[in-house]
Amino acid sequence: MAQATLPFAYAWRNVLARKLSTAVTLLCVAVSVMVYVVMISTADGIERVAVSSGHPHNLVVLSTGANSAESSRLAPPSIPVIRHFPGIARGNNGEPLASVELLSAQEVRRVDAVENDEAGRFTPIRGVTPSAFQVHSGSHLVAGRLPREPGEILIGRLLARELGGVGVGDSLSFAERVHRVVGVFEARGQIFESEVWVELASLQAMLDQRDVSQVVIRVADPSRLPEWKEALSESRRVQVDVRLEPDYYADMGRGSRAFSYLGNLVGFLLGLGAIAAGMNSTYAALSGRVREMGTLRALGFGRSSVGLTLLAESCLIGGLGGLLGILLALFFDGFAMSLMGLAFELRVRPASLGEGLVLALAIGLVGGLLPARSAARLEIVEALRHA
Amino acid sequence: MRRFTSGAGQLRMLLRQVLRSPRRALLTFLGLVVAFFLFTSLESVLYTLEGLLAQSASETGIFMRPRSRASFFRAALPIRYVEQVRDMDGVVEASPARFHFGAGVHEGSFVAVVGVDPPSYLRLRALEGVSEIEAQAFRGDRRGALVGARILASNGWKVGDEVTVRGRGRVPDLSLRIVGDIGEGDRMGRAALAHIDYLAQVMGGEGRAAFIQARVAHPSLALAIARSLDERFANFAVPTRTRSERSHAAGILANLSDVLVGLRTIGYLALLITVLVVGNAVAMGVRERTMEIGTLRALGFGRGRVVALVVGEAMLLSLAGGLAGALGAYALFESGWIEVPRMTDLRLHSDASVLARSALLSLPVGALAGLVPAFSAVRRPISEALHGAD
Repeated sequence: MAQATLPFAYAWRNVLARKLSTAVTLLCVAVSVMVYVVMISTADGIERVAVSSGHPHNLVVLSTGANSAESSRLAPPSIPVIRHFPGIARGNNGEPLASVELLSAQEVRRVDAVENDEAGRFTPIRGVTPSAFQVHSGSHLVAGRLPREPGEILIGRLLARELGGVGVGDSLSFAERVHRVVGVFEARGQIFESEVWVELASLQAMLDQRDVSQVVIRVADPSRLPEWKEALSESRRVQVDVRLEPDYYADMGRGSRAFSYLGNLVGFLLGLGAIAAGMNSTYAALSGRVREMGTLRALGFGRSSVGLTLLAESCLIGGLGGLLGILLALFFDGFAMSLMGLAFELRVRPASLGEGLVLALAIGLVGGLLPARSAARLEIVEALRHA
Repeated sequence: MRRFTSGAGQLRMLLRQVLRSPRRALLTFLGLVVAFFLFTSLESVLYTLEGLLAQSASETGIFMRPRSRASFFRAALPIRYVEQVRDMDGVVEASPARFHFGAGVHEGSFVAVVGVDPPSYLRLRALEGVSEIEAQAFRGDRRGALVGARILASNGWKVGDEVTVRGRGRVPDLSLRIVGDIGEGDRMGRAALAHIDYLAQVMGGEGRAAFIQARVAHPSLALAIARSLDERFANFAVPTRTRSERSHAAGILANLSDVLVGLRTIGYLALLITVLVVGNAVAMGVRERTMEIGTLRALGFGRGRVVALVVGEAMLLSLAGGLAGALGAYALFESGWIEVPRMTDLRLHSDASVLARSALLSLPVGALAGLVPAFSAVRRPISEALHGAD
């Protein structure tokens, strides 16, 4: 005789019958999934900035031996040599596509924070010329205008949010001065969105120096990129190190790996806790229904179908908890965060949601396995005699 | 009744209740272990990060750099300022420093060299693991260097070696003679200390420092001295900006604040969930013992005693699990086995205070978890409970 299987509705009704323990297990699974997805999304947010920053046809020209723009110094005489190096692309106005930049990290504070003597955030300040918008593709003003005089600044979209909604007309304090925001710019999620942009000459005056940190150039013929890189590095007229712009920013991805490591670890540990909670309530469900299980067996339902129904209940709770966790995690999508001067948005990818759901189902499956085995092993007579 | 009123008797009774369903007790215990392991681990990470900053921030330390600095690492401050800082009332000692970054033995490896003035630097702060003989050798040898234990290990260098810190591109190489090693726990354990004038001779930029650090006689003087120093240099060629080491560290902490808040939230979220898990397990036990609790009350146990019994059961279980989880995390972090991938120089560790706080938190967690099942147990009329109505 073919053994009958228990309908799914039976498992569903049983889940609903024990509301309190179902709710507790569901919440445990939901929190595990939410924390896992949020941490992975944090890593994704950092990674996304690292990967999207820089144009594949751009070269970053730094002074020899400098690891980063922060430690690089190019003297004024070398700048025209780099700008007019053969092979550099030209813009619509015929000018070379070269962005001469000075970078400095300053403690930026809102004016009200200065009054309350609160600590500020170390923020990259980039002194630029108008060609920066052409060289750094994707960067454009979304509000206001370009700075015209000293004391006027542009602020990246993410930094503006991170500082609590700074907009055109607001003031920020750094380098012992108060500066007025005259424009907000976007840069397709690139690192520039966590920066303040100032006119190069104003920043040079502010810092009392004539040198610049770097020149970013766009090459006309991308296929000859390695050649130009070599030619500039070997040039006797300037002493520079040249790096491909995307490579230069890829190092930032390092921070994201620490987060995904932590996300996996925390997700795993919380998941273990949820398994213990799930197993407890499934065992409780079993011990309360031993006689019922015996009756089902006596009616002709096989060992496996009795075991499977418990497993289905556990997976059902896991799955529902997973869905709740995903919903909670989605609240964090687009959340602005900052880490050591790098502002980024949490980006919840569908793949992370999928991974969260798999985690939830795994919790349900592992939590239900042992009770299901016990249920399948029940002897009919003993079960029917159970008090 | 007396055996229930003595402390040992009550503990025995609680233990029996907890172990009545060994499987449930074990699973709840495991849940608690995991939650407290996670909480203690996250608190240990926070402890390490905050400790790194606190270690670098002595209460009497002040820190001077050019007001208009473009880069933290650039040597732009005239070294002659040191004398004037030292002459200021309330300043005990002042010393200049600058940086140089090069490569070690392996391609792409990274060696941070800090150029210091050995006599004043060694008066300013004691270095872990550096003996007086080594300090003397460092003071007396212009090419001498005290090198951090981690750099020695990663390059296979040892005290007495003549080594080269290779410059990138056209930056010259720097040859150093290792005269001593700095202990791993010291904040300079990841750097090499060399003579600032020798560094300047090789790299250029003589007479310049990236910053000047100083110590003042009393913490309360730090702010006032920092201000008057900046006023003194305001009209000099390079105006200065001086801060206490404490406020400098606070700025760095503010940069990490989102991450710190995030980690702390996860830790407390894990504990909150644990309250529910333990509460649910205790509630299951209470439901199964409805008749027994009715009997106890019929025998004269007051509501307070029954509540105490159920809450005590939750607290006992919670304390056991909390202690085990917290101890496990503490032992793991103190063993030094944990390394963050690609950040091998960040050695995570824990502290007895973290362990104690986590373990003690298990008591309120247990109490909170036990309260709801305890009150539901005594709310039921005795007659109903004796009939075993569920």
